[in-house]
Formats: sequence, C-alpha cells, structure tokens
Amino acid sequence: MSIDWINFTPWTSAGGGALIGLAASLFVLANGRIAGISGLIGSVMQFGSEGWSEKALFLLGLVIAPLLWGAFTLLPEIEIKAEWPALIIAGLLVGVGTRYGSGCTSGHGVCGISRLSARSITATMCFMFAGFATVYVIRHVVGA
Amino acid sequence: MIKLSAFISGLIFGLGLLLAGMANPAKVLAFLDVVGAWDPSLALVMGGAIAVAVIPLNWARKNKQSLLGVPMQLPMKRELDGRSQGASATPDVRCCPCQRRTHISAPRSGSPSW
Repeated sequence: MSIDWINFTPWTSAGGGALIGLAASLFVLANGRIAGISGLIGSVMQFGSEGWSEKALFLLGLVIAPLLWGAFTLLPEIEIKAEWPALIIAGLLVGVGTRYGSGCTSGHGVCGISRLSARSITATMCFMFAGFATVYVIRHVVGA
Repeated sequence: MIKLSAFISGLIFGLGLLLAGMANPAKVLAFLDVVGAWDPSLALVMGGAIAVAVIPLNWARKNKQSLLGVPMQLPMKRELDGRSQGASATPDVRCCPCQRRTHISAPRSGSPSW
C-alpha cells in the first residue's frame, strides 16, 4: 500500500465531509428524514409517493449545487475513463446494489453510522470491502 | 418551510460533495484501489460528515418530531437480514434487538437464508 500524496486532499475532503454532515443534520432536524441519496432517488422515481416534493427538492438542490459553485469559481475536474455503454451498465448495477443493500454511502455510511445503527455499520463495511475487492480484481487481476 | 429546508439541505450536500472532490469518480476509485496509488480522501469525507452529524442524528433518534414539527421518519428496521450485507460472500450476521448486540460468526455451508 502506498498513499498517493499528490492527489490526497485531507483538508478539502474533511471540509466537504463536514458540509455533507451539516446537510444530513439539517435534513433530519428540520424534515425528520435521512439524507440517503439512493433512497431519495428511489422514492422520487415513484411519482406521488410519500414526501415526494420534499425529496424532489432535496435532489433539486443537489443538482443545482454545481451551477451555484460554477457561478463563483471553476468546477473541479471530473475524470471518467469508461465509455458510455459501461457507464449505463455501471449505473444500473449501482441502482440495483443500493436498493438491494437498502442504502448507499450517504444513507448507511454517513447517516446510519452517525445514528450508530449496527445494520448500517455492517452494511458500510460490506460494501466498502466489496468495492475494494472489485477494484482489485478489475485493476490488478483482469487488467494486470 | 420544510420544502425550503429540503432544498437547502440538498444544496449544501452537493456543495460538500464538490468541495470534498467526490464529484470525481476517479477519486472514489482511487480510494477503492488500496494496492495501487491509494487516495484515502474518501475516509476523511466520511469522518468529517460523521463528526458533524453524530449529535444531530442521535438527537433525532430520541425524538418523535423534527424541530419544524413533522414526524421523524427514521428507518425502524434493526435486524441484520443479510440484504444490506450483500451477497453470499458475507459472514453470517444476526442481531438481537432485545439485547442490542450483534453476533457475527463465520459463514456456514447450508446456513438458512437471511
């Protein structure tokens, strides 16, 4: 294991994380809801479901964020190496996986761990481990 | 008011993702590539988020209503049913809600579905 010190961004990442924590806190304190992005998207896809407008507004804020950011400063660089068919398949797998696992990095990893849910702590360890294993196989076994 | 707070929450969440560098899939992949050139940034994102959210979310757990007077809608499921733990490669995990304790044991062949 070697740390990529050039790309490692401890301060902005911890600061960005604190903003995510602030957003999750505001959403639960004001709206009484968990800021789990996969769950929110899942609910908004079911038009007219419980709390639809609140959830849609959260997601609207989320997608407007880059526009607000871009109005003041340069947007961070985004690197996507995969071709679009791979992205569609990857997106579908993320969707199926997060619904099957009842949550993603935001719902289980941030909100669930914060409320000390054994279920979420276990889920986060499992999907992180699965992620490490998948990238290892793709990059260092298949792609070696 | 709850609509405004929902929108503001999403907006702050998005700005946080951008500041953290998590809008870039390559950075997320660099976190998952532990044997390559490892970028531990994502761990700090989660750490920063949890450090801020742990007190508000635990307050929420103990309250039936939000500060704006709407009902708390937190997940009630406590048992580890194996779904959120992914596929067959995961260990056999069971949680006893009565004791609030989790038992983790090695996977057994032919164990019942959970």
